[in-house]
Amino acid sequence: MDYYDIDGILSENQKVPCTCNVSIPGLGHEGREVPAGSKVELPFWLAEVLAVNSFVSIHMPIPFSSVVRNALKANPTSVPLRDICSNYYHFSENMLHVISDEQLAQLSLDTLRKRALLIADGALNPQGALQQNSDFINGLDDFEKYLLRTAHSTHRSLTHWQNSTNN
Amino acid sequence: MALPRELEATFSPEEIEFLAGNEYIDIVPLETMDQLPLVSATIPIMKPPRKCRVPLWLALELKRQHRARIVPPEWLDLSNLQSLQEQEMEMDMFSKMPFRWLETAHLLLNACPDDIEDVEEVRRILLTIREARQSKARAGLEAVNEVQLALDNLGAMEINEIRPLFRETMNRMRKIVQVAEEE
Repeated sequence: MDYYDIDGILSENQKVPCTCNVSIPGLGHEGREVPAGSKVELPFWLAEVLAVNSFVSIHMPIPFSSVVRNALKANPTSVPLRDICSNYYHFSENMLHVISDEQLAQLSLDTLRKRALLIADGALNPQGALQQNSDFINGLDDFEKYLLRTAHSTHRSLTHWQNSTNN
Repeated sequence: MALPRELEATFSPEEIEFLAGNEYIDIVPLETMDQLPLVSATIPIMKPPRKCRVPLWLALELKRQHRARIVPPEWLDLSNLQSLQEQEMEMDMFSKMPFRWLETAHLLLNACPDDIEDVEEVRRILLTIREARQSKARAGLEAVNEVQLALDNLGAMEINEIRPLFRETMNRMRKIVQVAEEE
């Protein structure tokens, strides 16, 4: 089921920096060979397969650099996740397949938890949230936008039901 | 099954309200009515002024036809609600409301306001209780992790309201932790 998940497929398109351990034919511009030791930016779906066979080594991509990590640790709700990576949580799940980093997992959880609180508030009153908190709302990544949308529609149908008098 | 987008994540309030219709409630029939053999139970002969215990959906229908008066359930009276409200304000946990309190109260307040004493006051108290619980549920979001979350004494409609947000968040967390632990 996860194989066909559109968000998963899209998140694997994120580019990651890699170093080639061997020369790889066909990878370069117009199918030229890429010499060993050169640095390339590959989409994750390609990098993962090559890394499993040790043809390339994957380095820490920008979304998980220490700059971003510190920003997220300090104030998760003020970081525009969308500009960093359009599907941050899915991408961390992907990266954790190849890189083992306990701190990254914990950081993603804490970030999600803190941002989910603000998302829950925004769901109750989207107009107000857009006016006051527009940076946050515009900086939500795809998964968080989905959360906001479903939470809001649940709340709206509940309010509509509560105000209805069926007699 | 392909559902419309709004129903993919959770039940609609109308569906939860429908489920609440199966709870039993007391009525006082206003005229004599024959036995009703139904699938799940047989409704006995109803003779005024003796009270009779029927499913809520039947009670509402009889009330609509002016053939019975509904006796409000014990928890829906003013003094009980006032003490529940005090409990709700004092405790951090949710107070013990009946599981289907929100939808049952909604149905009864719409169908038979004349059978409930101090209807306006009851309405006001229910609204206060609901708001207090809503803010507690939102605070509960802070404690969410990938394994479990205990929110005791939530009503059916309230669970339905928070289900999408909490479930998706916990799912996402669980996937991240699962991957991290595999290494």
